[in-house]
Amino acid sequence: MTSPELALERARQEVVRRRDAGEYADDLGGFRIEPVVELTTEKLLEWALIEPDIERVYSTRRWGRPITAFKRALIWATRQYHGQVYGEQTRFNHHVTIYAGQYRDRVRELEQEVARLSGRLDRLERSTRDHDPPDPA
Amino acid sequence: MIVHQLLSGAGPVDAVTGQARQFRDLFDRWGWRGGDFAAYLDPRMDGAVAPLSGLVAGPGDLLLFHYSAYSPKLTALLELPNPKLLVSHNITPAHYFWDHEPTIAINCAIGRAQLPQFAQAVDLAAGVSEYNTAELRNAGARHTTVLPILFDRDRLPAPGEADRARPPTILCVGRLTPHKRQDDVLRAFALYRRHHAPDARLMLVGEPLTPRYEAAVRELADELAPGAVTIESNLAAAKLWERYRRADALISLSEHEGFCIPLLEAFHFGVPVVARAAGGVPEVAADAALLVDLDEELAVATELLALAISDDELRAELRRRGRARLADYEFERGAQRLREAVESLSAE
Repeated sequence: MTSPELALERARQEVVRRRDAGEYADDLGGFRIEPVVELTTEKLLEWALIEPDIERVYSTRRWGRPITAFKRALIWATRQYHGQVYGEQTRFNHHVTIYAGQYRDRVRELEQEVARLSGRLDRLERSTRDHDPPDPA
Repeated sequence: MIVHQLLSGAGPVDAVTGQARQFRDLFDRWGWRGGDFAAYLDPRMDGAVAPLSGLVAGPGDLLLFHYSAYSPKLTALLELPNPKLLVSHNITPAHYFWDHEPTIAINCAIGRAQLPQFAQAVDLAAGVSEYNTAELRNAGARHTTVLPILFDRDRLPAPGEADRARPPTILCVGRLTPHKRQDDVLRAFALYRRHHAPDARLMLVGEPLTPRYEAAVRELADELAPGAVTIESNLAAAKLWERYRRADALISLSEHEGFCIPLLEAFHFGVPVVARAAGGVPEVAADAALLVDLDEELAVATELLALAISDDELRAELRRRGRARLADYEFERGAQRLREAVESLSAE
């Protein structure tokens, strides 16, 4: 019997033994859950547009059909107000998205500038080292 | 004694709501009064939890905050002069969600950032495990305690005898979310099938983060072990218990756990556990589970699974230790700790 205290060490040894015997050569690293959301400016702009679907208005009650109809009628009756609210929200969202996009572009530019300056600094350091006078000691 | 429980949200299948209702049952048993209120109410709630706007707290009433998500409405209540107890339900770090559900990521990020404000404003801050409580201390809580999740074994059926004359069956219970690492479970299981038991089966049970995330997990399962994995959500309790009875081992490779109730459920059903030593897991499992380090390669978890399934004496020893572990999480013991925590505040 393997005691619970020794199980981990035994498992590690077994992996080594099997690997030496040619097992566990499997590379499963490529099998992964791909990101569902890839945030691009285009995606953000798409999400920024507020356009609710009236089909999502419903009642969760067992006999909720008349309640659903009532809720949808209310929304229809107030569509002018809601249109205005969605418009304001959409405008704000688009501005924020564009603002974020400008920042992202600016960060990229600065990163490139930093990389360019670092390279220049390295070259300068190397050339300074090459021309250092010999140590008198 | 009057205790009001305050939740950021309440829903019929929400674990935090379930815990609050269990607390309320105990409060009723002890003759305490008060109400349960939530900032957001799922329309399917049956009226047991009221909207937060209905809260009327007398000067000496104790406010018990269940903190599990960002909630600006709850924050405002921290200003009240009443005695306050915080029960922190461990918010998952946001980085797990950015690639899959950014809105949840934002909620987690703000929720974790807001934790110090809650921890510092209450008279006593409680975590569900020592790991969780350490987070509260780091967040600046003055007084802390551990209030483990109440585990009521009476609602579980007897373990029953496992049928070993069938392909090895592995169970993984927990929400399908990135931090629970069902992808690692699938990879470890695929290795187990390739190197030990080609006919092995895996049962993944848990609510998915989103339908899209569930589809992605299913796709990965089909690639790694076609036809050998079942994924089930929204299971009735009786069906979940039946899955435990069918299991030869429970695996959890989660990277972030405040407590991990499935460990205790597995101990109850006598199912050996292989788990990643993350968060509160080592504390809850103690010596009753086979734990792998966080950075351990998956093949080691696979070998531990093989041992846990094939070594009958090891299984028996793990079962024995699991039963002993359950004694530490006896329902009445947990209830008594809760009572003492609440009464310590009312006595001040």
